[in-house]
Amino acid sequence: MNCRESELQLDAYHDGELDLSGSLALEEHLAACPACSQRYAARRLQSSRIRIEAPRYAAPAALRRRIEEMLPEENPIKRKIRWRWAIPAAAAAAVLVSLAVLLPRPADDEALAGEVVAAHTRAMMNGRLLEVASSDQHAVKPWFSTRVDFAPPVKDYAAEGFGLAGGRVDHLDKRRVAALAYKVRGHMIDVFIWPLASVGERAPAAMTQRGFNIVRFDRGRMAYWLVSDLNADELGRFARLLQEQK
Amino acid sequence: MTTPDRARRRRFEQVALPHLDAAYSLARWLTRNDQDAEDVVQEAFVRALRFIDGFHGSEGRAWLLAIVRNTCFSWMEKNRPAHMQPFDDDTLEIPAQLAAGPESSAERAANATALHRAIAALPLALREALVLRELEELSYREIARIAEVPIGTVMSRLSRARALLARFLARGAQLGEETRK
Repeated sequence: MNCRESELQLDAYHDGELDLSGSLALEEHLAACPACSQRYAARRLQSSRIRIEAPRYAAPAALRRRIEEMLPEENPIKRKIRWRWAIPAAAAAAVLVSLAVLLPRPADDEALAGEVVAAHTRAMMNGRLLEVASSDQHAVKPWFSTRVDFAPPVKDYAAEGFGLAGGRVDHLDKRRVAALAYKVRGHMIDVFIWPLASVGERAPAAMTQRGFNIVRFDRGRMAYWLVSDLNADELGRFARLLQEQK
Repeated sequence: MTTPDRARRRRFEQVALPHLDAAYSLARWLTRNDQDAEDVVQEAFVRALRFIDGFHGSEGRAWLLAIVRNTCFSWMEKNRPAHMQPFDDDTLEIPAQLAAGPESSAERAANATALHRAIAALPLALREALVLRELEELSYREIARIAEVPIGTVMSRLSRARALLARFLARGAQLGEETRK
């Protein structure tokens, strides 16, 4: 590989979009060419500068209100039942009910992941992500002591790039759970925590629902569910930090 | 009983509304103006509501951003035609706003840092690719779908955007030095 080819592929490599053989060839060239490896270092520096100094803009509250107002009414005042459809609809409903009995239920994790995303987006939209807003773990932890019947581990990870923003009480899987909010650049991360009936250690597992990344794991009698629109790699890194906390 | 309107509303609340910040951020970077961005996003959400029944995928954010992007481009063609000029990286003038010199704290608060100005000065197609990649962290495939170009074009636009940004930043720093003298 020459410098011209290397320059063309440097960005794709940096973005993790180059295939394996391309990556290996480029790495070989970078190891041998100081000019290209310097160019690569400058690219990485510039990217991290953009991510830190040029955060995403947040939508103004007035815009959010206008958009919510234009949605169809939640409860239409009066709507005539369309009898023409009533009988076929009832028949279809009966078929669906019988199917529902026969079909296997979705895996529990998947259903719970749906609840986790719903809880997260509901809190984001209502602007009640932070019932207690503080980056001080010693302020957030006692706040929970009067609101849930367990003590969620609360720790700030600002030094690692995951700053504590606060917390709230939410409901998941028919119980009250602690929700901690962390902020990374423009992205919010919700960490839901609740006690398990038995001691269980489950390694982190990642999934995606409706454009949100999710990671769950169990650690020392607590279930942890992380959800965010942050990229999956960084969310996974954060999950490992939480899992390894003292 | 679920009426069609209610079902649509719920679906819209699940698929589109959670990504309002992402939508606004993209529109704000593309239009470079608060009021324009609000107008574009509102129009985009009207379209999204109309198209919601046709959306069956799982990537709500990429779907919504594609609508925002298209709304933004047609809105700008109509209202800001001067911003839609074609360009050539090599002959591109270093924009005058890069030479703004030392920043007051008010300017910094208004996101007018040197880096902001440099990104805002990038040609539209390059700025779009850069923002979708660096701030929305989308894959090349998703960016290609949103910008309606082949993946190879995404790759070359990103590469040009980053090289040009480095040039702008270097030039901006130099101009800032001269102003301070």
